[in-house]
Amino acid sequence: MGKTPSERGAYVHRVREDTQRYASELLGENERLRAALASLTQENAKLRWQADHARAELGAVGDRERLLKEALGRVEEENRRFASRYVEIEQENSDLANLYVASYRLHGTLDRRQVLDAIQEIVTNLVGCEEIAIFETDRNGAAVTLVHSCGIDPKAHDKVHFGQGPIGQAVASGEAYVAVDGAPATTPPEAGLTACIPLKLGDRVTGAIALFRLLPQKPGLGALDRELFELLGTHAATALYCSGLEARLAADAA
Amino acid sequence: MQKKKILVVDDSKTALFVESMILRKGPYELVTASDGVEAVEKAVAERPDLILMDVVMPRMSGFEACQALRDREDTQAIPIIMVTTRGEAVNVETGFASGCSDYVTKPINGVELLAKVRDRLGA
Repeated sequence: MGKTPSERGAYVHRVREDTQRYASELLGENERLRAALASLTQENAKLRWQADHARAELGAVGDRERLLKEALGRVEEENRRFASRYVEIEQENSDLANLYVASYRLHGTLDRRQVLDAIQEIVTNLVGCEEIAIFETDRNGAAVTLVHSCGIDPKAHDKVHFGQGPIGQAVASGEAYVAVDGAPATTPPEAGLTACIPLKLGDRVTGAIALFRLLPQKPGLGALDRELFELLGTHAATALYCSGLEARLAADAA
Repeated sequence: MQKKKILVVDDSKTALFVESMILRKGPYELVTASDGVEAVEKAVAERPDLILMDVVMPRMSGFEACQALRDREDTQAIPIIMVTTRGEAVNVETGFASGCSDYVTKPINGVELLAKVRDRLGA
């Protein structure tokens, strides 16, 4: 059955309208897509800018962190230096306290017995030796005689002639004897002798202090010990001399 | 801040003097005694925060004084640091057995002494 011309015309007209509507919808959709694309492009650009900004900030934070770490390292190093110096100063203070106490104790009395006790206490408490002999020079100046001892056999050391053994050589020369590398002498009668300090008034040797074995926990003689020896060499000599004078004056007065 | 009180016990005037000089630099109030009997009396009367006790002393040794203080309720908690010339293990063990908390050996090292005192007193 063929369509009439009027029906064909209506059909063509409907198809044209449908096509136009479809084309119009496509154009609308296209426009929306263009708008969406523009929006996404803009959003993308914004995000890129934000990412670049964040990267720049991160870099700056990293730089600041590195600078802070460097500063922290410097402060820690300074702290270590201060702590180390603090310990050194405490040690110096302690050493000075020892020297002050030794001097104070030696000159704190004119009683001979107390001077001898003070010498022994200084050697025990500040040097670390409980085996000690204190000698005084004889009137003829050829030997030293034991006047006080602790922790040794006094009979073995009652008199030492000038030049005889390390003690005799120390009083003859006026130079302190210190055992090599801190190892005590092993030959009798000076077995165990660690050091011998001549007591001097000016250049005149008036006696000596002999130190035998050190306390077990004392590893050897150090710088402070040598300073104490120097102090004992003159101050103990003076203290003993003054106490002797005092005793003679007291005897004369009586 | 209230100063911590330390009782220093030694029959040697030299040791007493040098320990006092070292400790006086810290925030401490010092009380001294010259033998074990006096140490117990002063500890009871003064209630120190710490005691530095010599070992070899007349009338009563440091070990005996330490034991006496540990036997008393009012002094048993006071920390005691023995200051000894005898650093051998047997003497250190005797010290701990008598109730001492720590020990230092003579010759007195100021830095070591201060470190032990600070460690015990936290100041």
